[in-house]
Amino acid sequence: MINDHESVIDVGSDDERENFEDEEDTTTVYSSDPLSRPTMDRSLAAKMYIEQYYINAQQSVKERGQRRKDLELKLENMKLSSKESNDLRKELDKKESDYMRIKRLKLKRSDFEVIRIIGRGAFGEVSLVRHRESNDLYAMKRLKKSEMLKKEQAAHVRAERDVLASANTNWVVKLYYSFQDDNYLYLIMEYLPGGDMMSLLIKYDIFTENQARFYIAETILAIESVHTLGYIHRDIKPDNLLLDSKGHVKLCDLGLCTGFHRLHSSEFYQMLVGDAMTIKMKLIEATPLTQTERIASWKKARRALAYSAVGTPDYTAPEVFLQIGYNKEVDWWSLGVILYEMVVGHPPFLSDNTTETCLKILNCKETLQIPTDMGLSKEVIDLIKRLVCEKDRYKSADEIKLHPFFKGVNWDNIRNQSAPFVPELKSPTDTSNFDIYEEIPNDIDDDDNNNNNNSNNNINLNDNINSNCTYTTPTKKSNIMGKGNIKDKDLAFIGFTFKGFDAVNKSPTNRRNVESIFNTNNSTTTSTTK
Amino acid sequence: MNIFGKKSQTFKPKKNIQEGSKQYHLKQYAEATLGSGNLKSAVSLPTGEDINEWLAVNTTDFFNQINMLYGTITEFCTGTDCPVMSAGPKYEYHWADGTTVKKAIKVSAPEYVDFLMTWVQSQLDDENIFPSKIGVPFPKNFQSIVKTIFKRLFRVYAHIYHSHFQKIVSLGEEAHLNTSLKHFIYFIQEFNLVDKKELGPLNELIESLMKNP
Repeated sequence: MINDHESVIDVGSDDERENFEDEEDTTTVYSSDPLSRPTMDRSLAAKMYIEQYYINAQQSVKERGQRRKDLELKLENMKLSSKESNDLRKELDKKESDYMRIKRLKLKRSDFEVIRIIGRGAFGEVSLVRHRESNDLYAMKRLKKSEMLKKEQAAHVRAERDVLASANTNWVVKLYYSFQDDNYLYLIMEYLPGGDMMSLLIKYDIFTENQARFYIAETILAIESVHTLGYIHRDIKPDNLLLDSKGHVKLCDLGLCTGFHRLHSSEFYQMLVGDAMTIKMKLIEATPLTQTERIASWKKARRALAYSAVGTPDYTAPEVFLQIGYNKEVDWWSLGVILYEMVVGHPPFLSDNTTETCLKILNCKETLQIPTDMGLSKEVIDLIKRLVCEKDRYKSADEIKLHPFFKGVNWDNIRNQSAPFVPELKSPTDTSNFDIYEEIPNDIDDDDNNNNNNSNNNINLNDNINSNCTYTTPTKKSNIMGKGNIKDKDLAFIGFTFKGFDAVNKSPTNRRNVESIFNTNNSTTTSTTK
Repeated sequence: MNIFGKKSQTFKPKKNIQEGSKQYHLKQYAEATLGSGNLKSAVSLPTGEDINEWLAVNTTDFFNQINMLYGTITEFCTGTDCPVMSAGPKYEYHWADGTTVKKAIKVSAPEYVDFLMTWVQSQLDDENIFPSKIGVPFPKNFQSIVKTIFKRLFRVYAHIYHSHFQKIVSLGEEAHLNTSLKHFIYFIQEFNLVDKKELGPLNELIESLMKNP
């Protein structure tokens, strides 16, 4: 019980009011001294924080209302008894309350135990982790703030977090939480033990058309779900197509799930286009023998290439290079390139370097060669052409679904069908579908090492290494922002923290009824009556 | 209510016109807000939601906002410039938390805010008061604790407005500060968290803020 011993002293009264000399009043004039840099930085941080707060608050109200409406719609179709309906409503209310509590959590790195690193690249790494309290498994992407800033990636990662935070579909990898500390951004994602499409292609080299049809059809539905959210993915490629425990496709958004973001700045593309023009003559001299060697070399190096900051633009549509206004079609182009790769064994615009690749894409009328000696059906050839390089390329999922290549595809139930390749998993923590990465000694759990990294990586930044200020999670040493300086990189990452409603699914209590309702795929007639 | 018999000799009332000018100045800036939708409906308890859960998440949010806002004027809120925690000429706050400091002590404004924020943080971190694990209930006196937190947080708003508002304007934050306070007032009114007399220092400003839609 708190005893209130505070006092409020009323030190003024009318009958005791005195007059002061005029010159004393001038002491209340505020100084016009210029504002200091730390103050302006803290001010900017505060303004961004509050603006983001109210944007998020409005969004939360809408989303909660939508979940309620969705439940009522499903209840209408399920024809349950009054008691059963009320029980389900209470389940949703409980889930919403749990979600509200989760929002108050301040997650930190030590809440998760790293089991194994499953990916590494330019900006950080991806690990399979276990949440210590719940024992749930997640993929944790850790991005180094200093690296993001060096490569001007801060805005991209923020945009990507926004996409993932708003995506609520079975076709996109779920983001459960995001948080940060002084040195890193963390994304706690759904763990998909099946690896990625690149691994399948490396393993099997070429798919049959039936196998390709299945994966391309699922990828169409995944891309469609992102487009429905109002986004263009812009980075569709095999290593962004993840596979769940049953081998079904889930899309990582904007390269975020690998944590290894491609540079998409206009300067990069302009440079490529400029270089491409200067070596146009060299391309004409390419020989078939060189192409064979080129394919072999590419296959050997493709995984490493995927993890470089720049990578190869094999799957990029020409209008992205030319930086003319581009639309959702760029994602369908990428899909067509993947289809080609599945049935031919390598992407169509394979080259020795990114400049040549760009040149080939820009001149796709001459460079798109579909082999005639592999027995490809006329349907798959036609589909590839309509996705890649045709004057009037396919523009929508609906158009593509009608193509004869997809005859017989059950679009509404494909996720319930068996995948051509089902991952073999010996245990929940089996990561054999991922490459093996060496552990970096003390890299993950050693705070001292992080401090050393911080010291090294901030040579180019005027950071105060001794600052303890973490404006979104005040330290116990002092709760006043003014005690420390806000780093430049903190400004760039304001609003990054996120907790998704799906996080509630991970809480211990079993809530199958509500889960089955929300997990129903495009079906409003499923009954969960027991 | 005046617990102490004698008045502070270091704090004297200003003449009437000065006080009036300051109040007018504050009212003038009530116009600026972020226009962030309907704040009044945003404070309503959502259908089916547990009231304590709703109070808890909002307490955390307001604490974070006020912490951020005060952090922007710490360069100016010093022991020299603000030797007492005041909110205009008529209000002066002394610190006591009822446990560590049982008898109210007179401290400078930055010290008072530091004590206050540290205390609120300790409440938020206390699993016995603000449980974070799913399924753990709130304590019986939870709402009483929340009321104390909100009463004290209000004093930071009051001090900022009365002592540092020109700096807030120089930093371009008046819309953010006004929106945050407006949201705060809607919330405490919705759930009766702070006595009306506690709002005395900002009465006229609040009246102006709440007139705007």
